[in-house]
Amino acid sequence: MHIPENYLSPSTCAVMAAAMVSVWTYSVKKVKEEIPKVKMPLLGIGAAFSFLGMMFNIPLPGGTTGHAVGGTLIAILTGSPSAGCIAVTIALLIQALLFGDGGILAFGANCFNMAFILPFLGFAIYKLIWEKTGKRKLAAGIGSYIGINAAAFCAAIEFGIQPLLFTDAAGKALYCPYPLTISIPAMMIGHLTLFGIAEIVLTTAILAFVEKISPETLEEKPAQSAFKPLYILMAVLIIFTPLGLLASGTAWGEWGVEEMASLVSNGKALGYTPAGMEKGFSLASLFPDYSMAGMPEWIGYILSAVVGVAIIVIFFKLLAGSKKDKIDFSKGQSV
Amino acid sequence: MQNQEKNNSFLPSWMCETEQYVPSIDKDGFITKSTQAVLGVLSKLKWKEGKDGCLSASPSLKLCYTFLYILLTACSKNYVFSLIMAGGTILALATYPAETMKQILSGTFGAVLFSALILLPAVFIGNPQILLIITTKVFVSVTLIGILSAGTSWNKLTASLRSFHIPDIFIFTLDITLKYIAVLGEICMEILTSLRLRSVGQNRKKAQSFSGILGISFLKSREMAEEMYAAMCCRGFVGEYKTQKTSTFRKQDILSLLLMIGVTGIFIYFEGLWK
Repeated sequence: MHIPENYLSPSTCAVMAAAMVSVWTYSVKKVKEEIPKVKMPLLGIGAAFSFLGMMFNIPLPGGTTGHAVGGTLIAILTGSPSAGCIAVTIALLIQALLFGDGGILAFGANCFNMAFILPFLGFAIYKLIWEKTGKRKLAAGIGSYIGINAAAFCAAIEFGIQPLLFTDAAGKALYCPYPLTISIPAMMIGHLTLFGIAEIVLTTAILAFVEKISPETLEEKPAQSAFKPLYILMAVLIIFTPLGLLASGTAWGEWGVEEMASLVSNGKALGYTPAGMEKGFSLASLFPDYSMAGMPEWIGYILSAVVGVAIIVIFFKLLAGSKKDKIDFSKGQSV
Repeated sequence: MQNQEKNNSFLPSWMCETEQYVPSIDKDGFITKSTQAVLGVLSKLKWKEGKDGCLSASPSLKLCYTFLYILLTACSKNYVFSLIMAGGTILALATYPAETMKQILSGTFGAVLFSALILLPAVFIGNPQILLIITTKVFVSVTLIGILSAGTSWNKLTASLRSFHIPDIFIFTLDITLKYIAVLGEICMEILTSLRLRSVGQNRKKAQSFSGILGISFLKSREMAEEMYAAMCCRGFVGEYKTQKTSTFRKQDILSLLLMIGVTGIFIYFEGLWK
């Protein structure tokens, strides 16, 4: 699921990275609060563990093997999806920087899929099912399966919107050439079957092992990470934002073609400046106010998702900030 | 008397027969593949750690220009510019010793092959030039990253993140991660080796040990985290991790800066010409 360089347009990468910045800020803060400093080294070592976990080839029925991401597992083991987010982010950073696996520009997008959607949604579902049924392994299995598939779905959408949004004057795709009709099945078939199963195997098998060998490890998770339904809402909303694009697919697609045609006909006079790439890049990240006026529909969709996330994150940060004094005090006591 | 008996004795007939032991074919995919993957990571992290050349710029600047070049390559719509970047990258690659070059190119080759394979169907959809364009760009990006990681020692690379105002806790975590991938990787290797040694004859249950291997390494990692925290406390850790700011401008950096300006100029020129 590692998106390589140059498959996404730089503007898409910028939007995803901007979304991730707020998630990272939130996660770092949350981790500082949730995880006592006794466990700070665990973050790094947990990241090392998740990195190594990706190296293992899980045997699957039919003689094939697959490797899992394990974001949900880290979230469950540490009891905090924020820790899972940071651990997977760092594993991804090392892969991108040192092993050339996944692009540097696409780092934001990769993190959005695998370090945000995957652990947060996976953990939310795990928590929900576990609380309802009391079956930890079942909950973990379902959570991780849905988590990885949601992540793959996001990646498929990121791929699929490229040829719709970014074309040259002749209407040829500039980046990933496959539309949603190809990218979604291509990504989802693999993940619904092989990689999804690999993720379930990884998560439940290790959870079962840890549960058996040292059950106390799982119990000592911080109590305050209890999940608000708001989290789930947030995750679901983000997934459904691009779905909104899909739902109005025909209308939106037609509009896109018409718009493109008019662009080209105007383009004789204007030149090909409105390719929208650099423009989109600066609009989305640098001048949000300016871009609100007369922006194309697709920026609106993505931007509103990003803004929505940002507002929720700010809300949570403020909420956490109001409690901060108390927590800091108790931390000071435990020195 | 006894000695004489011993001297006269012959080897029993069953000992003289040549044995026809052919071990039954055992599926070994799980251990072999996982061992290879872990060893690959370990060798990259421990034994092939990047080395600075005497002429190379400071790590933060390296990170900076690598990012800039990748960004410009991704943004360019002019194939000529991509070709110029490819040329420059090959030129830079040429200055490295063969061993390093092989290491960098092995990564590049995989990525280029992969993207060529993925983009092949696009040729039949009616988008033939995309194959060439994206493959070239992928080549440039992956090679640049390869050069960065092969030509910079990694503790300097993580320290250079400091100059990009990345939170301390992030750098601290990254640092620990890199070190403990090696430590935990060795533990994984040891467990995998012991699993291989014990799988005499046919062992169909090898894959079942999978959860054990990773479960044990997780528990080990927790243990190590606690030990590390204790060690940190002994050295005066109070919950704040500060990285030292190292922003030294060196003479060698001027060359890289000039190159950055030059490449940006070329980019603007070509994109402008295209309009």
